[in-house]
Amino acid sequence: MGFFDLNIPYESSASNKANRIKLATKAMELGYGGIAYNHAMKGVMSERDRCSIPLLSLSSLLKAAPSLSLSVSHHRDLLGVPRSSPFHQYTRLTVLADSLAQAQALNSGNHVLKSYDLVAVRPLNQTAFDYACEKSEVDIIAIDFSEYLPFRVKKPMVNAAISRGVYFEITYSRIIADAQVRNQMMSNIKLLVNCTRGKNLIVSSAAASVTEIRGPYDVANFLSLIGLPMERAKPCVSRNCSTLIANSLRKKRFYKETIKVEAIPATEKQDSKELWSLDWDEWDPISSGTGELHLEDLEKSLSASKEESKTVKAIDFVSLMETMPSSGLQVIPEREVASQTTKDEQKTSTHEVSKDLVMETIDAKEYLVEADAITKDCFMAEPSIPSETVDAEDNRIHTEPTKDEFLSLNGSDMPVESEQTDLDGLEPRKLEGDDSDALLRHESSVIDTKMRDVDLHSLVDDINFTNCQINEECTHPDSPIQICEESIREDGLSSGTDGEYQKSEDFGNKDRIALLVDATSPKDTSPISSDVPSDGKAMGRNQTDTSILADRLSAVPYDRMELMSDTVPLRNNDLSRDQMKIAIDSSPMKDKLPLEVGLENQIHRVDDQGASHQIPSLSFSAGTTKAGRPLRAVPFPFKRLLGRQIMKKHGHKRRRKV
Amino acid sequence: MVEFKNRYMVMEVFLDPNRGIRVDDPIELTKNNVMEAIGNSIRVTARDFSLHLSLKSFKVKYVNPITKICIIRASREDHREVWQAITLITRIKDYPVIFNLLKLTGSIEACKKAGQKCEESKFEQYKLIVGSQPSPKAVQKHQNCLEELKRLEP
Repeated sequence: MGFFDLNIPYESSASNKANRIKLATKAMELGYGGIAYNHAMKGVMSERDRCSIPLLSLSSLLKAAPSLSLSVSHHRDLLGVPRSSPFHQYTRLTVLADSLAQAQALNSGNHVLKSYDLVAVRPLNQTAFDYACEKSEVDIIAIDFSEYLPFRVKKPMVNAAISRGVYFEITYSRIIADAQVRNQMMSNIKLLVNCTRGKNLIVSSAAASVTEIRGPYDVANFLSLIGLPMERAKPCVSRNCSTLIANSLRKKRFYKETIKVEAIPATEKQDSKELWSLDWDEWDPISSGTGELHLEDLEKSLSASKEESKTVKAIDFVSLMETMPSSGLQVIPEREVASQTTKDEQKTSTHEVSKDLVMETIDAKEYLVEADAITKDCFMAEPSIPSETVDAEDNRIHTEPTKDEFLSLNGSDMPVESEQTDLDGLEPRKLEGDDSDALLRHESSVIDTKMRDVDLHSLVDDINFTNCQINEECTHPDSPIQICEESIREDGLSSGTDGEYQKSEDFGNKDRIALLVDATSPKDTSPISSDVPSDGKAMGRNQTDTSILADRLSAVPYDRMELMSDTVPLRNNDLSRDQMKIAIDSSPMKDKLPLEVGLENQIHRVDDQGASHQIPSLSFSAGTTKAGRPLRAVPFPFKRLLGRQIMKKHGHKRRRKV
Repeated sequence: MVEFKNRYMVMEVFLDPNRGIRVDDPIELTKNNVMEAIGNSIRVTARDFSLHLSLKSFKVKYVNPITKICIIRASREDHREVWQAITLITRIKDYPVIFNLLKLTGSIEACKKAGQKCEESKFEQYKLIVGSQPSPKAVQKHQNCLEELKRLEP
């Protein structure tokens, strides 16, 4: 259970923003799990009062405190809050009501109120207080105890408010700041605490400066001295707050306070057979959907800034996702791309491997520009170089996959790929296709040698993707015959060199080839395009990469789907050619396969996977088609149930019983 | 059965939280000035004689000026008052500070264990803020404090 501070003052001035960053940083550092920015408002409400509070980004917090990540995890451990829980940011409106009319403005039809996560009222006289307790559509009644209290806190009113689920708020910043006010406040606060007995009571800071904010346990102790037992004082900072947030979010974001339609985050699980519903257990009822800061991102951006000469990456998911489908290679700064790709690889491969790759991918950005210029020569030269050495040539080879990912990400914008559709431009393309393919395989083999088993698993996953590829291939305008022709031509160019290359490699590479051969085995099941499975494999790799990246950015699934549908048809050509080459390359290697006795089990497993290709493919393609037209209105699902037929059936049963 | 029981509070101090990222401290934390600040705060929040009541076991046992961790002992009966008084401290010698409780323990052994853990974590943070290698003087001071923490007695 996290701790919350639901009152951080907000004003739309520049000095306030700097102060707000400091406050948010300190609150996060002290172990709080969420804060709310409070906009106080007096007088008549208008459209101008609509929520315009910008939530803070992670980078601004990091600038204020470079050791934030360490400090946060340290404090969370001490408080018993899970490290992985995100830091929530909410918006809150406090209306100062000094007349009945202003209190009455707080009703359920008010659209300004709905733009805030939380709505509070501060009554300034008896009638406003009574109305707020009995009728107003608010979440919190905030009482300012530091001034003379212009009304009496009566128990029946408080009880009425509690029964409606309205919370009372106590702010403590004035108690700390001003010793004179303290004595006067205490008696009034004690009155309220006695009325509520800790029920529906929250404590927040309303701190004007950083010196007035305190840790959650200190606040709880302060309440316990006023007269609440400790077991009731602690929920005032934690559980009461989270219940309040969950309730108010349900009121505002849910249809009839029960149903919420949420986009399923794009994860790899979509293509596995696991139940999606497993994810729903982890659903966060207090998540407002925006402005959540994750500690993992904090650590990541911290390590990234360490490695890349202090470029702090803004984790502004929304804007990142907006730029992604439209922007191309030129738009995104290379450094950022490099950092993104390194993180992806950290996810796909294991940590040890990824550490090597981090350095290499940073170099990759230098090669991004000349990636097009890489010709077959570089590939020819490659077998003579030991695969593990870290010289420039090798770097390029390792980092090539990152380029591939990048292509797949922005596939629609790459001039090279968009040309793909005409068949005349095949010749130069072929060379590059060769290249990337070989390099891709090389990279994988390096990983294989280190963590073979892990990679095998991921390959199995990849093969799942082939199914979707088969479907795509069928619908693709280019006939498979053309692709075959290309592949034959390529065969002549590459098979010889490939043979040498393979021999110089060790086990891992052979594994890979064995897998490739197996992947081609379902030829029988899909007669239309014999070569498709391995194509799909190459393709699958790219797809996993994109999906992982999209996932990491907590992408809206529509975006991802659009992204895929954009890139897939264009790339098919290119990749199928790659794939062809793989298939043909692997054929001379078949002779070697029986020698690897130990591997056979794994090969069998992969074979099984290949046999069951069709089923997941169907489900996946269904997913993509759905994503294609996501906005179409779905008829109310229970309408049928409300129809006459059910009633009739019911009647039947009854008659039978009788 | 021990008749007289104590509570040990492992607190951390944020010196001048408004100033942003700076390595040098405006003042050095010592046992004396922490003691003085808490004493003043108790005097303000409570009456004078309650200060004397709580003073019988109230003591600042340990202060580390590098990591700004201190350990404060108070009797079990009124440790909440002392804690509250510490929470309400806003300045030490005219420099704004925040006190934050890290761990509340009932025995010196548990307190040492928690203290060492916190020291480790805070020193990591200190190194990160300093950026480059911390000065040998600071490291020496920190080591001395750790030695003191090990030898801490009830």
